[in-house]
Amino acid sequence: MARTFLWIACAAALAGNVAAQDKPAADAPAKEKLTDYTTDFSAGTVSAGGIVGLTQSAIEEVQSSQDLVLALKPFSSGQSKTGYGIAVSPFRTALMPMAAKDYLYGGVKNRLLGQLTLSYAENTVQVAGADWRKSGFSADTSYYLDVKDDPIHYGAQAWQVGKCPEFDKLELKRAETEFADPSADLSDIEKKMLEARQACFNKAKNAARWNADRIQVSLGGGRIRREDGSRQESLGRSLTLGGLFSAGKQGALQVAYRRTSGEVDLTTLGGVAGHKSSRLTALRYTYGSEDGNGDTKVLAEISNAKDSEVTASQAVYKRALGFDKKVAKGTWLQFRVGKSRKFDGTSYETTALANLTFAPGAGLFK
Amino acid sequence: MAIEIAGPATVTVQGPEVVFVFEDTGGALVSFLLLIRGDPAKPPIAPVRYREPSEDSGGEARTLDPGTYQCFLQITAIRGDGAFGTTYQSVASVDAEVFGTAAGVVPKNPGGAFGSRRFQLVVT
Repeated sequence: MARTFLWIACAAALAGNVAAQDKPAADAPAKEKLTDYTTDFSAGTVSAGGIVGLTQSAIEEVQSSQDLVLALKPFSSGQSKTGYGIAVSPFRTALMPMAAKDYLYGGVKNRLLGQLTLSYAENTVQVAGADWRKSGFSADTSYYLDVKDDPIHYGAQAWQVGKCPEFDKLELKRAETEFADPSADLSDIEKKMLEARQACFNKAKNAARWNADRIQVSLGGGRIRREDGSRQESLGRSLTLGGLFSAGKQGALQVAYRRTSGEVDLTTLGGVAGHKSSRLTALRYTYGSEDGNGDTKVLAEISNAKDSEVTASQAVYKRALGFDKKVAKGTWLQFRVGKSRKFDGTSYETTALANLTFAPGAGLFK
Repeated sequence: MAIEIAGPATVTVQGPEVVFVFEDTGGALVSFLLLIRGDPAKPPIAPVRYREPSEDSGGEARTLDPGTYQCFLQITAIRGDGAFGTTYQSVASVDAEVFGTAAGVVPKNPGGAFGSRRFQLVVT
């Protein structure tokens, strides 16, 4: 319980920090502020969270970010307790920077590499009266079928000379002012330049589709370990193929197929461990609001999780409803309620999950 | 945070046609703007502008009479929505003579970085 409160406190503190960004805070040191989240069309995702049951959904929308993405599950539910996950896209940060034009114009390989996201997650569950800690890792990438739907592409288009006249005008004004007077105060012009650029991107974003067609692939693995360290088993290795496809103006269909091998049978955790391979298919329909281009989304999903296979990968929602709500720039609240098999396979349970996702900033890697 | 642009105080090229080339191999949105001031009695020379990322190469020609020109290079780098990454690594040259280089990470707040450099361009 103490751990639950700790996570709630952390989430509340960080969410408060994000909300504070919307207000002038000139006296706050920049290093303590959260930053913008790049692909801000839906919640930042931590794919490894699916391996450890942090999200309990068979469908993960792979996204990359300029910043570290952090997901918290501050509220315990059923046999699943608190957990967290982190994700980073190395080629988009200062860790292993890739040139933006290499990403956009360097072919399929660069677009897959540029979207590569590595994630790690942990979660605690109770099996047969004992606490077990699950940990998972995942490497994911996604690919827009039409590069014109990629926010990086239309962001670059809106940035070209002549496409954002207000920025062009201010940029010239700044240069002429400093050229004439090297000691001139340029802070106001610079602020207006940033605002003008953002306005041009927002215009392009509003003309774009949040539900543009894209495919994704994930490779992951994990392990489960008793909290007292006396035993450890594999959660197997998994390959997930998926895609998001537009369904009307504001709708999207997502499909995911996951193949898992070498995964421990959870009913054998008390004795000699048995391992299984399994397949899972899931389908989700999402409807996004028109305001802000999908800042609120409602969704319904189903999967063919099998009753007979008591493995972690099959302990996902058989059916669920939920919503994603953008609560501040870069911060999303995800809520899901659905029916899934209990982690130890003894019965079914209806669980409700609330996650907060946000991006604390690439400054961590400077 | 200011962008620090390194480069020589004077660059000499052979005219009358000179080609300015700009390139950035970072992940941020980067803008180059070059002001060129020559003889005030002659018509003003249009600024040279270029933005990265771009599918086109950043080459733009100007016809300059022999003489000395005062130049001002400004580089703006932006991260955030619509940008791929957070870094800039810029090179500006004229007829293969480099007159400005800069590299760094755009700070998360305010999400933009600005820098400038003056130099003299001698056209022979």
